[in-house]
Amino acid sequence: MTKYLVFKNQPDSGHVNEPGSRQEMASEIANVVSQDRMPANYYIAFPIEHPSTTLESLKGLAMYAVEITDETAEIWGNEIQEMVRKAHMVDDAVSEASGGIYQAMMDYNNSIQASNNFQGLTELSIKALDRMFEYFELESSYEVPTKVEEIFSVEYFEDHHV
Amino acid sequence: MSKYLVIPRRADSPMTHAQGSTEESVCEIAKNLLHYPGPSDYLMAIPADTKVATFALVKDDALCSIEVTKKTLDTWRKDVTNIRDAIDSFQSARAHAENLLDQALGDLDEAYENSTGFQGYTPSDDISVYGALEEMGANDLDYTFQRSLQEMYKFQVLRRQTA
Repeated sequence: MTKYLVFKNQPDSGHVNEPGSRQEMASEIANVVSQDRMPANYYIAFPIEHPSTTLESLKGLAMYAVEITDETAEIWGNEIQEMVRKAHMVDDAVSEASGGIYQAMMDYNNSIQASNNFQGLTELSIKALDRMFEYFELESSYEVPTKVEEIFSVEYFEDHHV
Repeated sequence: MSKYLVIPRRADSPMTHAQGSTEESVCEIAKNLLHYPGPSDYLMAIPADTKVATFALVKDDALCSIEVTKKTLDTWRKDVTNIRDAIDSFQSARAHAENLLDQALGDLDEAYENSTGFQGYTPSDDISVYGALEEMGANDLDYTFQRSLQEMYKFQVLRRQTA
C-alpha cells in the first residue's frame, strides 16, 4: 500500500501527473471525492516519502491523503473510472433536463399571467423544480464519491495543512 | 351570449364558415374540447335557437353545445393558443428530460449492477422526474386547462363520437 498526498497544483508549478501513473490515479481520486470535476492536473499527487511531498507540505497545500494498493488500483481501472464517467453523464443529463423544463415552466407561467381569463390557473412552482433537480444532483453525485472515499481511505485536510 | 350546436359537416356539403367568423371559432373550440380527430372545418356551428339546430337535436346529429361572448371569443383567439402552446412545450420538455435521465440512469444502473464493489444500489430508484413532476401538479395542466375552457364556454357533450 502506498499513501499519496494530493495538492492543488499551482498553475506555474511545471508539475503534471505522469499519465497512467499511480500519482495520476491519486489525483483523479481526489477529483472524484471533491465532486468538483476539475480538469486533469488540477491536482498533483506525490507518494508520501517523495521529497516533493515534504516541500509541498511545508507550504501547507496538501488537500487529501489517498491510499492505493494493487487491488484497489485494479478496482479503479476496471470499475470506478467507468462508473464516474457514467455518474457525470447523469449529472449532465440532469443539467440539460432542468434547463429545458425550467424554460418551459417559465413560459407556461408567463402565458397564464399575460392572459385575461386564466390567471386563476395554478402556476408551476419554480422553487419546487429547483429543489427536485438539486436533490437529483445530490443523489447522482453522492454514492460514487462516498464509496471511493472508503475504498481509498481518503483523508481530507480541511485547512490544507499536514 | 350566443349558444351554438356543433354538428359534423357532411362530406358533400359545400357550406363552410367564413374565415374569422364566430362560427369558425366555435368549431375550433369544439374540436379542442371534444378532442375531435379531424380538422375543425369538418365541423359546423349552428345557432342553437334555429330550426336547423332543433332538427339536428332530433336527428341526434349534434356533438356538443358551446356558448360564446365577444370576450370569450377574444380569449380564445388571444390567450388560449399561447397557453396551449406553452403546455405543449412543457410536455415536450418533460418528455425530453425523462428520456435523457432514463438513458443516463439506465447506463449508471447497469454499471452498478455489473460492479463488484458497488452492488446493492440502483440510482434510478432515487432519481426520477416522473413522480416529482406529478407532485408539482404537472400532470394536471392539461386537465385543469380543459376544465376551465369547458366552464368558460359552457361546453356540453350531446352525442359521443363513434370511433
